[in-house]
Amino acid sequence: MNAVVSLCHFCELHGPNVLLSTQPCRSQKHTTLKSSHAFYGPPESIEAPRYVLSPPCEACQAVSGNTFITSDHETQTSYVSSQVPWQSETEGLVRQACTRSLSCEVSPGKEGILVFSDDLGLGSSCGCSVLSHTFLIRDSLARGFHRWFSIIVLTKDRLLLLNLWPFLEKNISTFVAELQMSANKVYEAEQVERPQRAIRLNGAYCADKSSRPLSELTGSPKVFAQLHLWFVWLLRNASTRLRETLPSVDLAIPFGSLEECEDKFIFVSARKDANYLKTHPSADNESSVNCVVESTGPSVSSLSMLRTLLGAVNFASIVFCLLVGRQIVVRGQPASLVASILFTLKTLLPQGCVRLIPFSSQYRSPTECNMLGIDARAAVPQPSPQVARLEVLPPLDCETPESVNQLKEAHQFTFHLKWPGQLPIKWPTFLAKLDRAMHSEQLSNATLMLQIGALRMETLNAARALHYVDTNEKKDSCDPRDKTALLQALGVNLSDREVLTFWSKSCLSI
Amino acid sequence: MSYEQDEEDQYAPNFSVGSFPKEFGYGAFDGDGEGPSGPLSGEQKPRILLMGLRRSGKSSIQKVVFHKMSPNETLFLESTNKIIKDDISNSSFVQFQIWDFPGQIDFFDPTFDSDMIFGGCGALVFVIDAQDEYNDALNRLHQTVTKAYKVNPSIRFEVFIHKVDGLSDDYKMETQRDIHQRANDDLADSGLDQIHLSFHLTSIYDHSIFEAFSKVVQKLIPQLPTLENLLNILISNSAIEKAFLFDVVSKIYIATDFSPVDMQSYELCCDMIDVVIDVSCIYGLHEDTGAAAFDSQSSSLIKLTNGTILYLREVTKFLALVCILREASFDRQGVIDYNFLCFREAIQQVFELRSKNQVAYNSSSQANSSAVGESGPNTSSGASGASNGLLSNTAPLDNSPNNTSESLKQSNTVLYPVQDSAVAM
Ligand SMILES: Nc1nc2c(ncn2[C@@H]2O[C@H](COP(=O)(O)OP(=O)(O)OP(=O)(O)O)[C@@H](O)[C@H]2O)c(=O)[nH]1
Ligand SMILES: [Mg+2]
Repeated sequence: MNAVVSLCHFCELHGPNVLLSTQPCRSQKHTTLKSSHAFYGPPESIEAPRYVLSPPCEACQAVSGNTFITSDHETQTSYVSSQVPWQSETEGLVRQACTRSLSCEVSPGKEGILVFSDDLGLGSSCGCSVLSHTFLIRDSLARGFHRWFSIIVLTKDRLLLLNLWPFLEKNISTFVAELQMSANKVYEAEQVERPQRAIRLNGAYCADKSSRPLSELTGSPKVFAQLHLWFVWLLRNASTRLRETLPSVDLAIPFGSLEECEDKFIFVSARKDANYLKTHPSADNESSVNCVVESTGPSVSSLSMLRTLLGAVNFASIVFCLLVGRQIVVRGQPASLVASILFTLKTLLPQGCVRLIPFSSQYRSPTECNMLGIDARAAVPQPSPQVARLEVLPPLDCETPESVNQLKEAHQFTFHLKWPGQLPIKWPTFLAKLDRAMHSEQLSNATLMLQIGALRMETLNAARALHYVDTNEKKDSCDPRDKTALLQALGVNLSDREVLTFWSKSCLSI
Repeated sequence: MSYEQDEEDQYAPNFSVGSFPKEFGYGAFDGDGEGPSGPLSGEQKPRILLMGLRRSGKSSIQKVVFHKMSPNETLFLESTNKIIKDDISNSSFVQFQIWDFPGQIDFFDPTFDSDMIFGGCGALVFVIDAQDEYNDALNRLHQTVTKAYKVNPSIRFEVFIHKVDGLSDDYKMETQRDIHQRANDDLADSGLDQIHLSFHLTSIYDHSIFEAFSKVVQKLIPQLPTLENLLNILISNSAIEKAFLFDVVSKIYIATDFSPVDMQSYELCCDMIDVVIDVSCIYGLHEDTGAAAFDSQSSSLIKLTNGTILYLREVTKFLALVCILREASFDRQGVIDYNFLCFREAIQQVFELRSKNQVAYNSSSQANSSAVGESGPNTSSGASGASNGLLSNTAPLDNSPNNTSESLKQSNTVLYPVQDSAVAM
């Protein structure tokens, strides 16, 4: 895992300070250390033991310039522990996280785990997220008979951190409990020997002598080596549990199994299946309707192409209808073109929301399908806000079906959107982001598909969280303010609500 | 959830779990009602900041003054690791938040939002440990004052030369002179001599800390001139030597009359409050009624052997009046009690008005204090003038005409006793 794990403490003389930081290092060429051990990190990382602090104090000087190294030959990764990370940029981040974990993001007098991050926007890449576990270590010479410590895990990937939370919490708590246990033993022994309350009341107490290193507090001189090993274990095992990859474009997100997943998280599948559409155009057509999709003839192959054909506004309207669960009817000839439009649009929705009939000779009601392709001659109901109809019209000069069949390119057709509804003034986030992504010329088609995959996943996650709250709300009346706060946290705005309702109804309802 | 924020998201444009600088402390989860835009927060509570080097005694001061901690217990206080915001407004008259800072952290570091820390702050108390070497403390004082002044020029700066209990009187004076001199020289050197620093010698082992804190708090009470005038009128009409208006919980006095305060009489009055509270805690509390140790019936009279009397009466839920007077003047207790009632009513009106309408209050309090100022000379010149003084004092505070006529009627019936008391003087 690409993270830094650090031990920090609140020094009575110097305030918050970093004691030990462990980080993984990888590099192509590996160095051999003097001791003939292989080392995979960049040599700079262990060259100059970085450590400056004046005036030094024993408590802050934990590893005093030493570096611990553990190498994992299987994955060609070396884990390096020194007082602060060797890159000064990371050092700054760790120091700031240290101050926050000990002096800001603490509930008064309470130990425990929490996650905080920079407010640079949740998906932003420059901010970092920190999981911090603050805890107390007893110290008979400390002013309050205990001192504050924290173990922090700093990553750039907030989602990853949140997903790892249960794992990290469980294991960090174990480390902490062990440290506290040994410190308690020392504390009790010291108190028996020299009862501090009495000494202080007699005025023979000098607090400034109290800055003792953790090794003394826990009575184990090797405590930092121990911590190094724990942190290495944590980093190594975290990466075997979850890995960072690009979101999948695969339509077949396994919704069924998601419901059973205990941690209430959706795991992003890393399988790539972008060709799914092209190779199995009729794979999900379970309906009895005869599918007459030909593989030749004019067709729409991508969303950007569709957008160009329809124009940005019409395209947005269609996408909007699709996202909020209204029926889309594409009417016209030839069948291949009609079906390809529908298949192209389908990528926007998760599997569970799609009830698609690629081509039918007569109209089907919205209860049967939300995406329908029909013959040009079939009768259709009047357009209404609930049904958006896209007419595919051949050019004026070709009247006969034969001449229509001669047309090879989609842009030879004209497209008319018949939808009396109105786009909301504020677009749903999904639509707004999609529009922005497609507006920029720079995104390649493949990148766009990744973006759509990510958008779908985000929206689905939000729908899921909302669904979870809604079902629980019925059971035990929860505070509506909590729900508002949740929606805010998810970044859901009012116009998203309709989208989420549709998605959670179709994908998640039990 | 990776719901990327979108500049079009009207809902929560800047939501994040911990926004470091903006909501330093505990941000939105703090529950101290200090939300940056909370419509409910209404009247902003002024803040008193306690700053100073580590181990200078900030937390001790806050605990001893506002939480009744015994001074010896402060030996076991932990080193403060974050800003502790203490809202004392629901247990006491003093509507303030006290912020106790960790001494080790430099809050002028750009990672902290100094606008947010010093913006709404009324007073900054800088604590210097006088038992220790104080060069560093003076440097930090200078730094703190200059930077805080830049953010918020209306902050009042109070320097507590603290832990003076271990020092000889000579050394105390010498230290105060030295610190005073050097701090002001430093300011003058950087061209900031318009900044005013007030110095106090304090210790948690005696009443000096309460005295000093009283002065700090008084400067932040907008009604202070009114309260002082009311007390002046009261004592001059009732032959009282000295009167303090106490905040019962913290034992700081929020106002006194114009005669000088000597430490001894202040201590006497503090002790008296302790006695009253202790006695009524032991004997006055019935478990079933859940009555407070201090209520509207609270009153107490202590006669000292030197012919002095201490007299305590409840004024409001959080305030008590404690008077020192000669035994001879107490013959006319009825008059004093009557005057006290008038006084209490006036005080209550001052604060009712404040809670009713902050804006309306501001103007009327000014009007009122000037009215009292004018009636001051009358008070001393004649007996009927005195009663007018009491009257004119209450009248401008009244909002409703009904109330005014009522209090007029009342005062008519009482004109005589007041006169009598004035004669007795
Ligand atoms: N003699 C004496 N000791 C005092 C006085 N006030 C505080 N102390 C002692 O000073 C020590 C430090 O007090 P704290 O109040 O914890 O110091 P602080 O300023 O809050 O320190 P930080 O939280 O580290 O910034 C304690 O041991 C107190 O007992 C005083 O007036 N006289
Ligand atoms: Mg403190």
